[in-house]
Amino acid sequence: MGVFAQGLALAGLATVGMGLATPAAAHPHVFIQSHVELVGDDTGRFVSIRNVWRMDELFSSSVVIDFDANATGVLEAEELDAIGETIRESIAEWGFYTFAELGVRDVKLKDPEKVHALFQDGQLILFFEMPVDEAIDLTTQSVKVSNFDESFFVAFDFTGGAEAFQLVGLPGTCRKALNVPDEDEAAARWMDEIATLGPDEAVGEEGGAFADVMATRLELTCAAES
Amino acid sequence: MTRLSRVLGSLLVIGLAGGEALARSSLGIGTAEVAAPVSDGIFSGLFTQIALWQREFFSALRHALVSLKRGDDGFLYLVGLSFAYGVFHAAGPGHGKAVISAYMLASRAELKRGVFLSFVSSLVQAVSALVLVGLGWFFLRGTAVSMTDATDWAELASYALVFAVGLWLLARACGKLVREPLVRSGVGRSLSPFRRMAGRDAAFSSQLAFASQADSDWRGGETAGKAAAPARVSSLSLNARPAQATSISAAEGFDRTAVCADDPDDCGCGRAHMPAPHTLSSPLTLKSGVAAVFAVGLRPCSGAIVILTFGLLNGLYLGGVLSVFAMALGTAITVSVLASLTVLGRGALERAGRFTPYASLLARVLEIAGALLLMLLGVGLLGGALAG
Repeated sequence: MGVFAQGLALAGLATVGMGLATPAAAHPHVFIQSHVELVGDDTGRFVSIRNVWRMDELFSSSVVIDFDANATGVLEAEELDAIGETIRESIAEWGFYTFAELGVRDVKLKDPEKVHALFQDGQLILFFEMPVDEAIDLTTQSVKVSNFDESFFVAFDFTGGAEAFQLVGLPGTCRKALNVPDEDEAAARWMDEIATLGPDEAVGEEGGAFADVMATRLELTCAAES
Repeated sequence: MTRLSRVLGSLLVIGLAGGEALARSSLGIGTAEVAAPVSDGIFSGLFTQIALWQREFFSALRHALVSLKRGDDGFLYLVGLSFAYGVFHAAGPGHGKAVISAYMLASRAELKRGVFLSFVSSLVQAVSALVLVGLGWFFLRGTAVSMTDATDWAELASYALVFAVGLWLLARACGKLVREPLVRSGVGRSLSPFRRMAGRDAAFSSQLAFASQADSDWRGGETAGKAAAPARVSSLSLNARPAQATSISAAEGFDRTAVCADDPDDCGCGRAHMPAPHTLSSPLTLKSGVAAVFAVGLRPCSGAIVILTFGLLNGLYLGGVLSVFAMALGTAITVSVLASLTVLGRGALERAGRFTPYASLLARVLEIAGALLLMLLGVGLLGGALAG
């Protein structure tokens, strides 16, 4: 039993400890079926993004227990407002889970004034609008729009595919294309990005956030087809 | 020593890194599991894969519950799925496994107890989810306190307990360390005990062992009276030992400080053999075990909470409760595997080091490392939860 072997064994134990104590990817606990409206005017100017989110049945029922202030078993208008406000305040820190990218940078979006909430068939539905806070001409530029949660608590499903994104008020020349990353491929790509990080770089700083890589995006452009 | 301190140092860093947990989810409702989305640890690839599986399982669980609500016959499927979710959920990162494993390292508890603790803590976790949802629905509605608030408090209490258990075990391990003959002899000779631990050549260490006996004898002799004083001088010669040992043993009969607490084989120094402190401390271990169980179990799994709330709102009482208990059973299996690995790893390490002069010191160091890991986990988790 050499000193070396002993050190090796201790290092092994420490590694196990590291694995156990490291906070890594938690899996999402809330699922949102998302419907996104991309609003513009007839000149092809990008005006706003409207989100309509149908929350999953399990989360929706936990919301009833938390917010049914008068204990009637149903959520009334005031209680729904409280839900919308709680969520609005919280997701503000996470970019309202709403991202529009212009090339490598994010488009400036105004915070929503109100998050509206409805309760329908055992599911909570949230909707809100975020105005675009800069002039973007979609006839010369294309944007990529997505919903994702960098904290990985919420997972977004775009079950309708490209139909989950709806163009509103934009000229008929505008086109949309859906980018759906393959999960395994995205995970592999994300691992590659992690591998190239320096020892002092934090994950996510360089756009390497897992949710980001995994997100479904809609590419929107009104440029004339060449 | 530098090697040991390096390992301890790295454990400290690891413990701090492990503490970035937030109580509130990014959505503001519900409790998130950990805040750091993904870390770049050695295991991030594995954990990413586990996270993907967990997501699949959780979605399947949700669909099974919704179809059960619709009146489809999927009861067994739901219970089976919950069990599988429990197994996989526990395989991901989480405080329960870390606490149980560190506790196993620090408390020197045996394998059986580790498995038992894993099962009991998982059961407590299921019951805690039931109690919180019950409280939330029957008592807290209409009050200023929501179920999410109650969950946050349970979480804080759980993290505080992690720290307390770590502190408790650290105090115990340090107590034992001070009683180590190697350390005592070092202190007795006014030398740093840490330099002794680093003693690289065996000859020096065996000299130490003799010195330690001589020290003990000398101390025993002093309390027993002048009669033993001449024997102390001759104790440096091997041949003189037996005779001297008998005389001192008789003389010091009632002196507790000179009683040897080690295994009979290690007590050839003439001090009376007494059961080791750790075999006498079972009520203490029991207490810390109960605390460890609550440290893990008080904080309910957020998956269990949403499943129970769904069951409650849709009248699927049996489905919800059985699903949560099946999940707890699955969790218990994974956690007990990890606890067993810790115990086996510790055993292997101690066996490997048993012929070295500092074998029992190694055991103490492992205990202290485990206790420190627990404390740091507790501090990190508490800090993260309070900041959130």
